[in-house]
Amino acid sequence: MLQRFFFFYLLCLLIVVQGHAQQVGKPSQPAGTVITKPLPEEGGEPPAPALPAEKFLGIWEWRSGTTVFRLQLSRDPYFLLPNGKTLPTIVGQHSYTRNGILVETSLNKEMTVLAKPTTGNILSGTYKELTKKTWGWVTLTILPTAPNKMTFALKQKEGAVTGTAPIPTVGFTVPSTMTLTRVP
Amino acid sequence: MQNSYTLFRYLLLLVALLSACTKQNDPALPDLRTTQTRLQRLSPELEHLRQAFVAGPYAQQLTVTLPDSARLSWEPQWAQTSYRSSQGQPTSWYVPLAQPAVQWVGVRKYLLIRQVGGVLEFNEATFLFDEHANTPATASPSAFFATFTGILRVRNLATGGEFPVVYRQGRRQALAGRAAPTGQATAAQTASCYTMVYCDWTGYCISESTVLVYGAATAGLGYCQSPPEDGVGCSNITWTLTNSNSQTACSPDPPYDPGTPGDPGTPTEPTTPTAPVNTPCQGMKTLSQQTPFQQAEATLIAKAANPLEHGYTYSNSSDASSYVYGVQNSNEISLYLSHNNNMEGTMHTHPPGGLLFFSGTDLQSLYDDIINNRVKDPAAFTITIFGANGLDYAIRIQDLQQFKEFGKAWLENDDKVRMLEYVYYQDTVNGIASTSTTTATREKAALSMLRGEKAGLVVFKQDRNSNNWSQLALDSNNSVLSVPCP
Repeated sequence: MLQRFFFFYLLCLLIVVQGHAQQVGKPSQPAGTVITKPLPEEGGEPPAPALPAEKFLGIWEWRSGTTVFRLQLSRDPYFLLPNGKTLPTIVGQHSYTRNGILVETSLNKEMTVLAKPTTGNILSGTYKELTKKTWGWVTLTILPTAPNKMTFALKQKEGAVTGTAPIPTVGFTVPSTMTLTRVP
Repeated sequence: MQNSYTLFRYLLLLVALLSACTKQNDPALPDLRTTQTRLQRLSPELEHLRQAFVAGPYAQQLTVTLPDSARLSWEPQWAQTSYRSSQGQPTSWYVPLAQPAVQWVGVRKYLLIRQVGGVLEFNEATFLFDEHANTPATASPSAFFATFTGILRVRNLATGGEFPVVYRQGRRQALAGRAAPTGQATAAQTASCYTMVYCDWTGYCISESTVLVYGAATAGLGYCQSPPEDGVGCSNITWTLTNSNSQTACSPDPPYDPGTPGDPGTPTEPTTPTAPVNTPCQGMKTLSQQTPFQQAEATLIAKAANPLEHGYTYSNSSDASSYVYGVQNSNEISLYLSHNNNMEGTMHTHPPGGLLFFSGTDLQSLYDDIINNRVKDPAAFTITIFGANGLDYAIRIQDLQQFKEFGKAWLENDDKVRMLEYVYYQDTVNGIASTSTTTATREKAALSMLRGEKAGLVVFKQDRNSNNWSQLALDSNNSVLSVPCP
């Protein structure tokens, strides 16, 4: 009986000693200032929500003789903001050729359109004016009766400007309103 | 059998020894020998205070809760007590509180014990301050509090009641205004009420496999911001709000002068109040009462229905000749205001159909003026808009450093301003530029942006009927709070 009790106690003792050995085996930390915590596993960032904007994506064009405005819209699920955060965004690049001469282009350079869907057929956001180095608001509206047609409308931004800079330039290089056609 | 029994006894002894070792090494348990040694050095007076503290329900009030619900206790450092006396007799004591598991930023905490009518009253005294704007916290208490600038939060550990005290350069600031008589809810009383919001934060600084834990507390009128992400020697700190509450006070002065702590064992001098502190809200009220400002405002309100923007800059709000009318740009709804190297403020209209709040470009102009030293005093510089729809707003800088950091992130060039407006202003339901929602929702969107991006700005709104300005802020429920400027 005593032997059984002894072996049972020995088992308990081994468990206690094992636990104690694990405590002692931990690396020592500076007293009271460091708490060890498991780090989150890498790659745990949830996927960005996909913007319901399929109908806007692709290449769109406006032509008037040899004057051509071309807009390419795509989706950037992790568009980087100045505060380091990301935001799912519809981004766009454009080129503008007047009378066969390239006036301005952002293709393969920068995003001149940043937009998000506001209602089913409307995409709104900002448009960067390349030549005059300013920006404004853009609204893109797919025509309900013609899904391959989309209106493009620009609007000046607002604001009071101070300082020694010249009076802000006005207007846009490209036409302020156009009806674009999807390029197959 | 005898051998087995002897071995069993030895093992039992070994277990007892191991258990004792384990307890001694456990950092969560106090070292009773050290505590006893420390207590033996206390004077009978301090020992009396300590025993009264231990006997009451006060210690359990002095805890900090981490995001994982762990609770840590603040421990009174009795040997470091300083006191305040009247006619040679101590009347109040400041006992430093320590919580060494967390590195505290911008916080000093004390147990303030007062003798009131022969009864001991225990209070938690939390000094909140900007580390950059104060003497280093490592300095002695007398040196630190001689120039202390910040807020003292005094909380009665028995009743839970509390009040704030504002200090500037070591001197208690009398808040402006007078409370109305008790029980009479007059307009004056309402106007002198204010809501302080207090927030406790825990910051985790992740470095390889360890996490440094920081603690901080902030307070503000109507809302509180998160602690700064710099200044703690950690480039990757994440602050988590662990506790917040708001207190509305209608009395302009604290119920008693709590004084400030001194060096251990020494009496401290009472602090005398000085002139009322000029808060941004008070500054806004003073500005709005200047006759030339009111005249310019009247001119702009009369022109607010014009489709183009109109505006002024001014270098002396009380001198009508310093108001310079802006130059309009005939095509763009944008205004080029005349340059002035010594500006006190700008004011302009927002025409019908235009934005109902400051645009990103308006904020960019403010940033440009600040960093290019075009303003006389950044703390007093004011930008004001008068809307065609009857809504008038003003902005002042509350925290210059924060505003500069906000500006560097979002206002430094047109591309960044464009992204700011893209993110926060769009004409969507929750956008600042929304045309399909309520004024309160738009104001909430604007205030959320300024708070979320730690812009360091305060917003005011005018009631045209009474010509009074109020400070807008978000309360703890994210509702817009309007606090009349005293």
